[in-house]
Amino acid sequence: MSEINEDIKEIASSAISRRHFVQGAAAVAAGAAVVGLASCGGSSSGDSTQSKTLRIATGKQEHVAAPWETSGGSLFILSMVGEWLTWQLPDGSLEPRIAESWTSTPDAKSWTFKIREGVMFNDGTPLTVDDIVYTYTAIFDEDITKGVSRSKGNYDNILDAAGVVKVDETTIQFNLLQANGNFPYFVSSACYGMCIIKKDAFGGAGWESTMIAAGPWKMVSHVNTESTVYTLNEFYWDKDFKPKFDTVELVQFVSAATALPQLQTGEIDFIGALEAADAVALDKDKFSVETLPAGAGFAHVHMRTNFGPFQDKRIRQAAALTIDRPGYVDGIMMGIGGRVGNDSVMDPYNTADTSVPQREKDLEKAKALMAEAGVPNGFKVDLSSWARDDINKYANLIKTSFAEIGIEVTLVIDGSDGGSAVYYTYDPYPSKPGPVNQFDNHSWLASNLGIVDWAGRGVPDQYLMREWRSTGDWSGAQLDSREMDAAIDEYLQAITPEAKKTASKKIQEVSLDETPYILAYTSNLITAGRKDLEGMVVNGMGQFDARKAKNA
Amino acid sequence: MTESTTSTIANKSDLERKQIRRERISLVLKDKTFLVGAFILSFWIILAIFGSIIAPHGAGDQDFNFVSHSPTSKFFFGTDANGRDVFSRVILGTRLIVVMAFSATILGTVLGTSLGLATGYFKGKFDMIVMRLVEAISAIPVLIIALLAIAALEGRSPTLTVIVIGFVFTPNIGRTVRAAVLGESELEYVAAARLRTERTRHILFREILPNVLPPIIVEFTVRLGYAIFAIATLSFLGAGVEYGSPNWGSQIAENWGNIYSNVWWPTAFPALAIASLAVSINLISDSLLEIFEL
Repeated sequence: MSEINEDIKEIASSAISRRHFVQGAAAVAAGAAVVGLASCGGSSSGDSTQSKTLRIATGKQEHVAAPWETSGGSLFILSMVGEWLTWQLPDGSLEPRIAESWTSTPDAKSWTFKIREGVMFNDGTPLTVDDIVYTYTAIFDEDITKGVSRSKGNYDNILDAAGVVKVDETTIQFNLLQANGNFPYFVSSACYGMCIIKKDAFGGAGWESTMIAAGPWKMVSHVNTESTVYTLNEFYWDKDFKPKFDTVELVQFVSAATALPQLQTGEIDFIGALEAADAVALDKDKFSVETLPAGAGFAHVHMRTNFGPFQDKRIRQAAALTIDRPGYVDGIMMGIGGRVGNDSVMDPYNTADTSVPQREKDLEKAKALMAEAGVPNGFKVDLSSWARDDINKYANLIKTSFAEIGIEVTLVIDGSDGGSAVYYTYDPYPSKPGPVNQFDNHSWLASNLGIVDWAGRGVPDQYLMREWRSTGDWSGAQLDSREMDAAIDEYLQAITPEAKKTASKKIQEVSLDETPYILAYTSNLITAGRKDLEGMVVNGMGQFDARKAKNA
Repeated sequence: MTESTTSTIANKSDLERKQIRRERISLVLKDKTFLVGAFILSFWIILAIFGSIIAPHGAGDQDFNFVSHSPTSKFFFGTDANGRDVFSRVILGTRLIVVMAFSATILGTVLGTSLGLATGYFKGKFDMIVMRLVEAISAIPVLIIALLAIAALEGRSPTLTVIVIGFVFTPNIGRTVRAAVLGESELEYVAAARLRTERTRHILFREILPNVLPPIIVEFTVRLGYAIFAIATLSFLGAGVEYGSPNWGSQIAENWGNIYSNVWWPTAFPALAIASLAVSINLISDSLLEIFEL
């Protein structure tokens, strides 16, 4: 058990070391001095001048802000009202929330969580182990969910309803289908739809009208795809939580760049994610900018492996060889937006094997591979995605890069008209081995070439489970590789860091060989806020913890 | 009237028409407003034809060492957030907007003229029914119709945009032409043509059409200006053209958010291009309107 905890701690400490601030310490000190001088001069500060509402800019939501429905965008809304057994911190480690502590059997096949006493829902009713059991079993029951459960895929081959056991009034046990050393992440906010809901509650569309959960904030008003206002949940378990703002409002923006003028004029206090170029341009005396690694989160480019022009892996390899990764990271991302990726979700984690060679731009090799594959002159293909600042830029990079080996890419970016994810759906297809989904340029999971956003996790398990394994329900490339599946299972079941590293190397090598996805970079999440706003915490998922937010 | 009388009327009107045409051309060529407009328009047409030779960089070429870089001697209009040369993209975007605007306006003018000739000449119930339909369509803003049509057809191709805008312009042009034809169809030369038992097609296209050309030409220039704005707006909204194309409207849509980061050049130069092209056409249109005394 200790080895498992050490492993998780190691992941966390590695993430801490990567975390860095954009601004220099001198600038921060100068800003603090200015604030300090202003205070000395008698200008009112502190609680007497506290703004009553904290306004936060977020990205646009795609699905309803309900636990069984949530996906990109709406997870921010849930992060304020929801409470999970554990919470992913910005450095990738976990913080106990509803669970006070956890242990596992030595083989990591059974995990026991001790539940905090005195936890209540925001309607004043107590949160019990029965509610937790319901939360973790209802998602498997289609009669209850009416077939809508986007979170179910988190637990494929890991957990089923029978494995969720109430031990006593303060203890719950998860008996897994296979060992997993990182299981606490599977009950964390990284599984953003798995906030604890009341027993027998319907967690699908409609839940958002009440948002009864156990998080620090309570919903006051919610306008779908526009804004949500919260106030203190007076029943919150942490009685030390005394918010410095009366209300918090999350406001959705299609592009973070459009939120910038509102930040600059004081209409918005904080932006949850913005582009490097926008962050760099902000006045350092007035605004604080922070970056934190988002694991393997953000934009992944998929190339359909079982249908269409990318079926031959040599073509996928050739495509991946066209990209100038360091140039993009240093230039477009200005060095602060991310780090060079090697087409694997393992790269950002400290269990990655750094001896695996980095893929670099090599047009000669790419052209040779295209010729070998029988398409020396390339072909035409659409790239489907939805509009977002970073995705738009990545799509342009793919178009320009692929053109160098004759692959003529047409960008089909949904929401470039200001809408969002109407054309490019996230609706899951059953991406099991065998069936070949009919080509559908409108769908993330059935398009030949596309980009999709993933939130940043502290461990790679969910990417592996849902995107890379042949059984994954969110597998855009629909890779069906026994070698990859075996390597993933080995990684998931590994308990020691050494064993994880060994498995990781296999995954990295198969990733480069098969190249179902291009991960030209791994992202950093960039946030910006008023200089005098302190205590805003955002994790790699983009989830907010505004409990300690206050004006300096 | 005898056949020789009708022939004399036709010859006379032909001579008069030629005389008027010569006078008008002379006036047009002396009009400074027209000349300024024509000069600017010619500039853009030349860029549309030879843009790919003139542009120093490709539309998609990225230079990662010059991202969101202000104008320099290497990049006259600076670079955008993707490291692409704004100068080249403005030049290369010219062809798309010029070809699309002219094509859509020509389509609208051909269809509208045919509609106006038919309704103005035949009158009666046919005219009444068609004109009510035209009025109903004209009541809906052009952009709304275009957006609805493009969304319904799930198309983002320039061809589809041209067809949609052309159809949307048809009623307005048809109404203008009809008004002119109503007046012309009562004149002697039309009656003379009927007496000569000329075919309807001949009367419409050989007799009446040349006499209603001035309002059609003016309407064409007015619609051309509208077409430029419509295409630029649709591109800005993401409808009509591929995302990331060097179309001026798309360039503004891609870059306007960066204005707040003081990166104004990728937005300002395409916007100036749209403005100058639209102004040039409006100058021509105003000049023709005055000379044709419409």
